[in-house]
Amino acid sequence: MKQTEHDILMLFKKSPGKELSTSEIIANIFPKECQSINDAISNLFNDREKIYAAKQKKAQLHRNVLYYLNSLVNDDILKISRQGNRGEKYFALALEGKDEIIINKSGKKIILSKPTVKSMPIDGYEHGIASRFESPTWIDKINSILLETHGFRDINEISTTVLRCLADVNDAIALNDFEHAIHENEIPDLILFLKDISRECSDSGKTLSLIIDATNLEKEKTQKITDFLQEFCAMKPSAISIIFDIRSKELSENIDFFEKATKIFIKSNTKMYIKNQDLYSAPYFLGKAGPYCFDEKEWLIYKKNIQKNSIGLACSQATIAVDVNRFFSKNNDISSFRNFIKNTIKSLFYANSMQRRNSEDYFKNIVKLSHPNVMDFFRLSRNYVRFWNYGWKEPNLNQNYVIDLIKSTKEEVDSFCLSEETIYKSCGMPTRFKVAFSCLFKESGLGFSKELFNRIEIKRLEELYSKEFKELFSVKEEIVQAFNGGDRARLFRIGKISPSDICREFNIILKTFKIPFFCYDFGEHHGADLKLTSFIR
Amino acid sequence: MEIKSETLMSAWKSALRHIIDSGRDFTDENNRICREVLNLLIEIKPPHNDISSAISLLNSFNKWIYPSTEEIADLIISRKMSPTYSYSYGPRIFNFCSSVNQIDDFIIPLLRKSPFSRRAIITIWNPHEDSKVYKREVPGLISIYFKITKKKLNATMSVRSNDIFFGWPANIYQLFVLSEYVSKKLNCEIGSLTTFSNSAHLFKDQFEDIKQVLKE
Repeated sequence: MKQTEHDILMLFKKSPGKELSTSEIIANIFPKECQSINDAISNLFNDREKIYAAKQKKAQLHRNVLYYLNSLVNDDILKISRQGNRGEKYFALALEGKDEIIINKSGKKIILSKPTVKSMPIDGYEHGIASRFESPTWIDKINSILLETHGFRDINEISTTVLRCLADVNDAIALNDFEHAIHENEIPDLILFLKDISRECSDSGKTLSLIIDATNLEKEKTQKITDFLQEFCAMKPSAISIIFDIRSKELSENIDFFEKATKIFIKSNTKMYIKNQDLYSAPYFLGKAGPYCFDEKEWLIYKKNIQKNSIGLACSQATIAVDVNRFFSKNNDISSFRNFIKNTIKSLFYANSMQRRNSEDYFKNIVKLSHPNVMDFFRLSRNYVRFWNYGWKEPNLNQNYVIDLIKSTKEEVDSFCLSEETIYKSCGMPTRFKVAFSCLFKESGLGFSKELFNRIEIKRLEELYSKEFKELFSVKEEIVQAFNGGDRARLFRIGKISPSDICREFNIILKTFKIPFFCYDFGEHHGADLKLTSFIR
Repeated sequence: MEIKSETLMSAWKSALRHIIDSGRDFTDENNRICREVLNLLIEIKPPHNDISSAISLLNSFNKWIYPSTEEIADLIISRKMSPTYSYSYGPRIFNFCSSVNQIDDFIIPLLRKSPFSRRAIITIWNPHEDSKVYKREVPGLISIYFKITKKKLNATMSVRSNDIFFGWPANIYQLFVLSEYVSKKLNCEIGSLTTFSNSAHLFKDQFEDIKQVLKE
């Protein structure tokens, strides 16, 4: 048995439930070589020949490892679990119908056994009612992280870090205060960054949010941001979003910039995400599963005491999604719903417990990145319960009733979390366990029931003042209150539009409604002249 | 106040009753109302057959998840420090400041050489790390004292802040596990196990559950 083959097998023996991409396998068995290749490729001062040599070396490593991987697939020891968009293969142990695989080659014996998966309290429900988000990597990858742009030297370092972190994350990464990176790097470098990350995110099915804090806008540098937005919208990377974190004050003060920016987004039919900093100072960002955010109070403490020297934060460790509509189509009493959510929370607790014990193994890159302040990296982390079709209605029930149910269930969940923290702390294991409620995006692809809510469409500014719209948004405001893990209002802007109108609309929403995060979708603005429809059927 | 008992369960329940009846209420840093007595000593005598009974009882509640005995024991015996914990007892006992194994390199050789020694103490609290005004995640367990009397190893654990309902069952079990480790190496039996809690307290929001335990 050759050393590479042996190392691959030992890697899967260590984590028998893991699905690993070719790059991840190579990074694990040739860490030093990979490090020097990456350093050579990302070193701006290297000449073309050195970069070319490093790329050749990388290709050679890939070919070498793929040879052994394919041979293990032919021997029915590994299987190709999926293929990324760029053609990268993902491998997993071929253990279907077997409890273990025994390999006996050249005097070496390796036994690969099925992972011992602890049964979870939600297991009994999992038939389209509850689902672990990204089930294969539910425990051994972290859900979402936020990286602080100021913590990195330049865009190359940001790029390398994001690429490394993508291996440890199963949904979303955000880059906070990205305006600094735009100010301090050249546009061609930023374009290169977008291209690299976009490709990697698309391949691995993950997302990146670039958060631009408008309170840090410097008037003389807004042209560079406009140029960047122009390039971004021309490229329109599906896995990357830009979020403008603004207050109505900055919107008014920088109206020229925002009108230009809006024009670019309208022209390219790119979604524009707005976070209201007056309402919520903690960042919001996007994943496939839904929006992510931090607890406001905890964020303010972080901002005051830690942010300056921080490289980033874990936002969410694990997610379970719940189809409320389907649950109530099969169960009709409230106490069973509360019990169901409690079992969901217990499952998240078990998942966290495993993550804590194996953090060095599971989140190798993140632990390395945040060393020696790993504790601080997890200081604000939470877990998510995401609701799908929560606007469910029965003849005798109404939307407010469902919201009240979610709110009261949340109180019980908080009490459970507090008990667990007390128990573990008093036993000598200071443990953080927090759960946030939020909505689930259709893009999560969890195969739940057909969506039962209609979209919000507006065709002119005046509609924002209409009784119908106010009523609609008052429901949304209630939902925001119930969802402490964040919510997003998506508005489809149709009909004729002008950038100045849109900016005025932003201002009205920022000033009038308690909606911390909303999105303007210009995708169908040339479409039919439709009327405002209701949010929940 | 001293509580001395032959069984763990009766010691625990006496301590719970004593705090409920004689404690004074205050609001802690997390805005939770606590009932507290100062300087509570709880001693349980051998043979410690029911050492994990309080853990089993807490585990039987569906309301919460209590750590398993393996997890609790691991915390005091394991030398591995998870980077996501701000501290852990095992590394501080067996690898204090990444350099001192307080049990294998001190307690055991000391008690082998001088069975009557009064110096057999290990410390968990590290002033370099823990004595910081703004640091909140610091160990509750401060020190453990071992003393051989009548050929039995007695152990006393000093705890600065002790939740007697949720924490004490785990603490006394950890003391037992560590004493068992030492006693095996010294080839002697375990004697009494004592905890000394500077702040022995209960959270008022758990009183209903505590009453339930007292009924059992």
